[in-house]
Amino acid sequence: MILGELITRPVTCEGERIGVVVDVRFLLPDPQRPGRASPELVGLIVGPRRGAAFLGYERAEVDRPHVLNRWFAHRQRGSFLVDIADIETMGRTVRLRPGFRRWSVRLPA
Amino acid sequence: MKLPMAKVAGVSLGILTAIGGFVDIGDLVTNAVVGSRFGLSLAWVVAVSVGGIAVFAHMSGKVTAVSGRATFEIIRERLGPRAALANLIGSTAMTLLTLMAEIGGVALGLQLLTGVMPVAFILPVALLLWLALWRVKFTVLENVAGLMGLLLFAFLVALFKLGPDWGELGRQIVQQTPATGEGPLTYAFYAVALFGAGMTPYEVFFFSSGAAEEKWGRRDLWLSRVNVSLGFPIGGMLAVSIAACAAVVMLPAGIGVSSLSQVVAPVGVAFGVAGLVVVLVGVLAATSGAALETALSCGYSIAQYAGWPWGKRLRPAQAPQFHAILLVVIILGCLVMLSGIDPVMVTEFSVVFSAVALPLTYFPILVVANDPQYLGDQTNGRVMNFFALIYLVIVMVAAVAAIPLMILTRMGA
Amino acid sequence: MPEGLPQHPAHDGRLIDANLHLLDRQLLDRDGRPILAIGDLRIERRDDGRHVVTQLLLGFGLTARFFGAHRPVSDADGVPWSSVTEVGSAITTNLARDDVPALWVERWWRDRVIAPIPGGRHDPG
Repeated sequence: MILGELITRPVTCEGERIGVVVDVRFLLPDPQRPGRASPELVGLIVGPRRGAAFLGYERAEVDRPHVLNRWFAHRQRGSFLVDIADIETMGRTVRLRPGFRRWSVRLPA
Repeated sequence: MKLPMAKVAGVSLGILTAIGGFVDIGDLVTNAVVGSRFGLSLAWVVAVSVGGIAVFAHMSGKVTAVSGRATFEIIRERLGPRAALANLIGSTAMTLLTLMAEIGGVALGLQLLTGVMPVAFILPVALLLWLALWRVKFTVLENVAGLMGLLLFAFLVALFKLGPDWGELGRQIVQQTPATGEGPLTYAFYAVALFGAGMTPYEVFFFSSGAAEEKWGRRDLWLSRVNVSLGFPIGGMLAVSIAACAAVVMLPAGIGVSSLSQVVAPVGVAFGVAGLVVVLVGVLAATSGAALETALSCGYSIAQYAGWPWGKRLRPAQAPQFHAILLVVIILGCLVMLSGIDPVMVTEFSVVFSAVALPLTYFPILVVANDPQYLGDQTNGRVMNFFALIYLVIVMVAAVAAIPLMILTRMGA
Repeated sequence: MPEGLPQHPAHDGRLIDANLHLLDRQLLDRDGRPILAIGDLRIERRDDGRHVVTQLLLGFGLTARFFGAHRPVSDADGVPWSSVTEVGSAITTNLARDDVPALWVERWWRDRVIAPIPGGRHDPG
C-alpha cells in the first residue's frame, strides 16, 4: 500500500460519511535508532475535508503566530484521531467499526 | 570574543543581495523614471520594502543557519509539492526574466563605456558569468560584485554636488503625493512595482542559500542580523539617491527617462566624464552581481525543490543538476538577449510572475520561523512575528493588485 | 488547539504523523548530503495484522498525491526504512550514494554533462 493513496480516502462508518483521511500516525518503537524497527501504523487522522494542512499546529510545541494558529484550528475543527483497533477495513474506503472512539489529534509533547 | 575575520567580511552577502534586489538594471531605470515623474513622493515605498525584505531574508537565513534546511525545501515541505511547484514556476519565471535583463544590462553599461553596440557584448558577458559561477569561489563573487557595486554611491555624492533644494526634496518625501499631474492609479502602479522590485523572492533564496554557502551556523545569527540591517538599507539608499538625482535634473525640465544613459546623466552633470566612468563601473558591478544572484537563485530553488544536492561549496560533480541548471539559464539568457530585446522591458513583465510567487514564498517561511523543530529556541519573538504578519498582508495585497494595475495603467504609461 | 477530545493513552516510543513528519522532507545520505525529496511511503501488512512502513519512496513523479493516479512502484524507487538513522527536520540515512538506485539520474548528469567540462571534478575554486 502506498501512503499517498491512503491520504484523502473517504472514511465511513456503517455507511455514513465521517470525513477523509488527512494523515496517518505511526509509532517508532526505538526513537534513538529509528531504522531498527519499522514504524507501526497506530492510527488515522480523520478530517472534515481534504487539502487540510496542519502546518504543524496540532503539535504541542507550535502555536505561534497566534493568528495563523487560530485560523488553521478553525479550518480543521472536527478533526480527530482514530485508533487502529477501531478500523474495520482500509480499502478504497476506510471503514470504521461502529462505536469507534474519537481522540485528540494533539501529539504528546 | 575574537571575531573571526572571514566571517566579518561576510557582510558582503547582505550587500550583494540588496544590490541585486534594489539597483539591478530594472530598478536603476525604474527608480530614475519614478524620480523624473514623481520626485521623491514614492520614497516611502522603498523604505517599506527595505523593512519587508530585511524581515524575510533574516527569517529565512535564520532557519537555514540553525536547521540546515534550505528555503525551498521548507516551501515544498510546508505547502506540498503541487503548491510548491506553482511557486517554483512563478518565481523561476520571474528570476529568469530578471537574469536575462541583467545580461542585457551589463551589455548596455559596456556600450556606454566603449561606444560598441550592446549585442556584441552578450556572448562574452554570458561566458564570463558562467565561468565565474563554475570556478570562482562564492566569497570572491560576493566581495567583488557587492563591494564594487557600492560605487553607485556616486549618485548620492552627485546629488550633493548638484546642490538641490533640500527643502523641496524633503517636502516630496513627507507629502507622498506627486506635485506633477500624475494620476492616482499610476501612482499606485509604481508603488506596487517599486515594492515588488525590492521584495523579490530571489533575494530570499539567494540570501538564505548564501548563508549555507558561507557555512553560517547557530552561532552566526548575529551576522545575519548585521547583514540585513546594513545591506538592505544600503540598497534602499542607493535606489532613492538615483530617484533623487532624476528628481533634481529631469523632473523640473520635464525630461522622461527611458534609457540607461539618462539614468546616469545626472552624475555626468555633477562630475563630468570622470563621474560617469565611476558610476558606470558601479552599474557594471551591480548588474553583474544581479546576474550572478539571479542565476544562482534559479539553481538553488530548483535543486532544493527536487531535493538534489546544491551549492558552489560542493564540487560540480557532486551537484551536477545544480550546475546544469546554471548552465542552462545562462544559455537561455544569452540566446534571448542576442535577439536585441530591450532589457528594461523584460523586467517590467517579471513583476507579473513575482505576484504569484511572493505570498507562497513568505508564508511558509513565517510558519517555519516559529517551529521549534527547525529552530529550537531561536523561534520568532513577538515583535518579529508582528512585523512579519503585517508584511504578509501587504505582500498579499500587492500580489492581488499588481496585475489589474498593470492592465489599467498600461504598465504605468 | 483547544479541543474537547480526550488525549489518547501513551504509546511506548515516539509518535510521528506521516504527512507532517515524513512526506516531502529531505532525505540525506550518510555524509549529510541531500539525496532526493521523500515523495511517498510504502506500507506493508505483516502476518500479525500490523501495518508497517518498509520503504521511503523518492521523488514526486511516481506519487499518487501529485497526479492523482496510481503508478506501479518498484523497489528501486526508494530506500529501505532500515537505513534511516535520524528523523528530524530532514531524514538522515546511513546510505552511500552509490547504494541508491534512484540516483541514476544524478549520475547521468554527472557523467555525461558535468564531468566532461574541464574543472567539473575539481574542488570548487
